[in-house]
Amino acid sequence: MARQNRSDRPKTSGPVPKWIWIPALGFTVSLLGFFLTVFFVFPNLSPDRRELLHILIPFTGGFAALFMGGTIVLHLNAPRGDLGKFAISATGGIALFLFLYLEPPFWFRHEAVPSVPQSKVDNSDLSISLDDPKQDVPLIRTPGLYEGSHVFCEAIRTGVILSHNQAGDRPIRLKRLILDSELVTATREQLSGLDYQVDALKLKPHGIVELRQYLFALKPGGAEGRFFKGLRPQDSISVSPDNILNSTRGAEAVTISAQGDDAHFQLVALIQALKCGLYKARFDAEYDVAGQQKTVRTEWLYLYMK
Amino acid sequence: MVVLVYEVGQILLRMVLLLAVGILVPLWAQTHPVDHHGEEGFKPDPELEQLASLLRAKRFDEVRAQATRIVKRPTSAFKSQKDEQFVKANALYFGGQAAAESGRDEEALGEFRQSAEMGKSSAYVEVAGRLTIQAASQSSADARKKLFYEAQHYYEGCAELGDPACMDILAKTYQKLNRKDEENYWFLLKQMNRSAAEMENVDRFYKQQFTDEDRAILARVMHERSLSGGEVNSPIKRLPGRSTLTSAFVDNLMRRQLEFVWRAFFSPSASDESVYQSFQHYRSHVPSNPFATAYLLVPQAVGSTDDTIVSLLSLADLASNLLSGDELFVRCGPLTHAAVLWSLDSKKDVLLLDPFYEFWQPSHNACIKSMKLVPYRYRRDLVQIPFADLKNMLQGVITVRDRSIRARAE
Repeated sequence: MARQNRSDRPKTSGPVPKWIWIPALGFTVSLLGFFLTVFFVFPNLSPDRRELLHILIPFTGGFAALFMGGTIVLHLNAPRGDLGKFAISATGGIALFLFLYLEPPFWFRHEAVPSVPQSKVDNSDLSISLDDPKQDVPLIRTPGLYEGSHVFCEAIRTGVILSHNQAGDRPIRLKRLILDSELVTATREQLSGLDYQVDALKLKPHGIVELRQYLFALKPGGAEGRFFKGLRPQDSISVSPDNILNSTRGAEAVTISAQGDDAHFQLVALIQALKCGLYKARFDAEYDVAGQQKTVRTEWLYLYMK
Repeated sequence: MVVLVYEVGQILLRMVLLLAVGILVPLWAQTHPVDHHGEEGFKPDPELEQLASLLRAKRFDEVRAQATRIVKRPTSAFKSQKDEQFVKANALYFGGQAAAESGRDEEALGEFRQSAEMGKSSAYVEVAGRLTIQAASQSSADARKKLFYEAQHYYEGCAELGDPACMDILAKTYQKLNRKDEENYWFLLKQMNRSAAEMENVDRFYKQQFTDEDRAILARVMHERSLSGGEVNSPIKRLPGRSTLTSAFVDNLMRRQLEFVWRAFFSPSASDESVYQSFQHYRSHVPSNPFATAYLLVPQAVGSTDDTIVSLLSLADLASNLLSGDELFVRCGPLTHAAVLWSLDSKKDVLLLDPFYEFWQPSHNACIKSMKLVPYRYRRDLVQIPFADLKNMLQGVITVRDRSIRARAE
């Protein structure tokens, strides 16, 4: 490569003053101190802070270039055009400023992370479980298993518990609570293995004594549900198995909080087979947590009426 | 002229009878004071207990003032219509007793009348006795006659609600009036309230002293007049039917249940008995006698050696053997209940006696298509449901039948 003569160099606007390194050093040290402070105080930056740093980082680069001595010439030869030959010459500091502004460092281009420390990431979620499902009609002879699953006869009493996992503080909005049920197609041999006998002598004929519980009746065409608020006809409220929170009295809003009495939602359900057949039923909960729509389900319960 | 003499004679006879009754019944009532805490305490009510305590302390004016306040209370202040009726009827009854103790007989009669109209059985006894006394003191024959008939109406009320004294008076009244069927009916029913030892005599007398013709008359009367439906054979060999005496016994039980249902309220502390325990309890409460006993019919094989538990292997058998007065155990899914079968039209509907009728509401019971609450006598209601719905829900039956199949033949 032929050595260029001084006269061949592009012309700048003038010589850089010798003392310029002093303010450059001051600014550089100040900004580096600022960055170190930001590093330790704000491990995760908000969008506004990131925007500000996006401007400050090129400044630091520019000042550091001056301080480190010498100049950098940015020489762009534009193609022929109406403006003719056009060149930009700048001191190394400004050139580096422009470069860093237009091309930020790779570590600064990453997506913003949540603004909370990693140790406090909010994993709020909902769990659903059946609380001690029981055979609600006394039996002399109990049925066998159906495909490895326990089978209840004629009626089940179970609690349903929806609870906040307490792995965060976000409230959970329960949008739908569904009694999902269907008639199971079983072979005659399978059904004969489920034969049972109700123990009439052990039945307890106390009528309707327990209130504030749900009663679901399963039949081949679907299920019907009601909530016993009291004993008057108007106190038996029809509820939709498609959403137990919806009744003839309107929709119930359920929010489950991370703490306190609202940290769980509990109900007692009686599930009866109204017509003969083998049914399976479970509860599905659709909910919203931090804008995400999710679903959780209980395991299936099998219910048989001969 | 002959007719006039006959009429006057009848009236005089009634006067003598009812005068005796009018004196005897109040005397009986005084010597058998009602234990308000025990008899009426099935539904503990603080206000009524306070009234009873004021009455015992002979603070009659306070009783009347407090009773008046309760009676004036609006319907909305009570849990239900039945609750209102019970509390107000008892308040009126206590008020009537306080008035009577204070010598204000007319006011007492008025309050007892109101209490009776609301269904309180012992108020019927009070009104009947007081009307009889009033009738005896009337100088006008018409006035006497009117009061006697009115008194008779109240005696019918308390007799129909199972009061043995009223049954006895009615039997004697009908005897004087030469209304033989009514006389025989109430005479036979009254015997069913006797002690176990006396029942032995009733049974012996019925079998040995009565002629076949007498027994046939009683059988017809029970068939025509009784709530239980009279004599019936059983199509099942292991299960006896009902003789005339047994049907009279069941009739008497039904009348006592009819009285009881008015004052039966739900108690959260009530024992949670099983069907078998209920059966044992029932047997221990049914008066002992040589001709009738209770059986439990269930649609399942029973390993017990107890021959009063009869196994009928199908619901159809169970349903086809129902009789009025039977206590039915029914179930719809997890909900199990008991009620008394009042009457049965096997093709259509059944009437049930049940203080806790809410169980049968289609709103609460998915096995019931329709239900009506039918007003019966003395402010009692019966539950009307389709027989087909009942049949599918049957789980067991307590039925009172003859002690043995031979007993009926004898």
